[in-house]
Amino acid sequence: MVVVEPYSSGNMLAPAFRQAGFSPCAVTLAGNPAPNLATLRLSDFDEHLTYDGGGLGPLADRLRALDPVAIVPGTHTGVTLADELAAVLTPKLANAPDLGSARYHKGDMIAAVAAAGLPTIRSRCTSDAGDALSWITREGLSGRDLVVKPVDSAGTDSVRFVPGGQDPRAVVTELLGSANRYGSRISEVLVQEHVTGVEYAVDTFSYEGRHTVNDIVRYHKVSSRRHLALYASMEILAMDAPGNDTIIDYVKGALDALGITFGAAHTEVMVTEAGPLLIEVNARLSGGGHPWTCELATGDNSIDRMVRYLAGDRNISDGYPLQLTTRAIFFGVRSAGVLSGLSRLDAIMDLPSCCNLQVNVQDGDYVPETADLFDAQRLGMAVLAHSEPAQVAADHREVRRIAAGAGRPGGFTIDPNHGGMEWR
Amino acid sequence: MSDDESTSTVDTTAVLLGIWQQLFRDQQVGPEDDFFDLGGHSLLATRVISQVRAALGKRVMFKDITECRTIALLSARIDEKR
Repeated sequence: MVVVEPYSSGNMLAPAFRQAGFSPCAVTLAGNPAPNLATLRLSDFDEHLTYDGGGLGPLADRLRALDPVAIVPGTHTGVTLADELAAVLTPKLANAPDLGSARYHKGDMIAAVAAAGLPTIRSRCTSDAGDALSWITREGLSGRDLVVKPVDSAGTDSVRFVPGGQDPRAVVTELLGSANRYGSRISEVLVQEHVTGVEYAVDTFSYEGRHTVNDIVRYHKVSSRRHLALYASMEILAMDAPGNDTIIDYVKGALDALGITFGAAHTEVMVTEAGPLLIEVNARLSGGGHPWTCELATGDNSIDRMVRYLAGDRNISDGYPLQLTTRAIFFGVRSAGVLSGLSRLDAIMDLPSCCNLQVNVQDGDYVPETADLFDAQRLGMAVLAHSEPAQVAADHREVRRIAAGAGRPGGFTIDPNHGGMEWR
Repeated sequence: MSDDESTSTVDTTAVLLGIWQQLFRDQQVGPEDDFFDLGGHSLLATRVISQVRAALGKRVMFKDITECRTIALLSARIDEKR
């Protein structure tokens, strides 16, 4: 089993493969400054190869000698290389090679999904601020709220909100001149109309072109001064909750449009008054250890489904039962500075539904203002799960109260509900 | 059974042994075996959390499993809980 870029949740693949009797092999990109480098555990692998970005041939030859069963990405940066290697070495377990760009490049992705007849957010892929403005004018979007983001970002990295009336060219120009979280220069951006609604994500495992649903997640995001939305918390929903069938149909259509026939995917959609609209398909596992949370909520997860399939099991459920109401609360700070008072967070562990408290920093550490999911994951998270939804809701309020006095002025979560607004 | 409902008549060690034998089907499991040395990992730890909750009505945290890596230690930790 080959895992390309086994960072973030991708670090959970190797132990699961090994337990099923597969020998795990890691492939990492040479010189790739992964923002989640600390999650890499090479000791879990029997082999480790690096790819220097040259021709695929030498790497493919070395992997061919290992007779790989399957080649999968661990995280965002591994998607394209895993795609290309799988097409050469394990073609029966490869996604459609001619749609490789559409699985990674957000402009091509929107175009492919639109070409399949699914509604999409009006978007323009460009590397020129003037072209962006012309498109905005042509589309009648002048004066409307917009979103500008790199065509290949992950974890809400460099996603910018442009309020109506503000000249979007400055944001486009700023992004085009900067580097993303992986150190790559941003050479193209996607300019989109800003749509409002509730954001959902659907985690799937696909095999032989059949898409099985592992979980449906509803995000609660909040805005900051510069960034469109920061992850505050998320909840895994019952599969048969009202409206989910529409979301599932849309997501399966998007996966088909992108030629995804094998592997995990994490698809984000905005459900608007007009129905679901694609934010993005990530042809990989959901990050941040999400399979762990999914397992807790449903008793299954994308990794185990993949392992079971590769071990010969074809009895894989199309959906999932929600066994426990499960929420993850992401930590965040509203200002950069030195942390203090983190020991107060220990009280979260006493809450009846707390199953995991992960605090990755300590008093005295300097942290930036939380700007994206990478910053949030560097701080940590709390996971609540219980058979009684009311208990989870009550404990969520307690987490906010406890975290309000820890970390930085303004607290250690970016959840805004101190004023009594209930979580949606 | 609701979460955290006490079931003091249940032998915690025996329940954990049953859970671990199910998780590590190909191996002989004893009370002093280390969960992670047996091949345990975070996803399997989640199953321990769920199954302990279902069988004993007790809440186990991920931290409990990483700190109490044997059945003997985890059993003692669980029995300490209300």
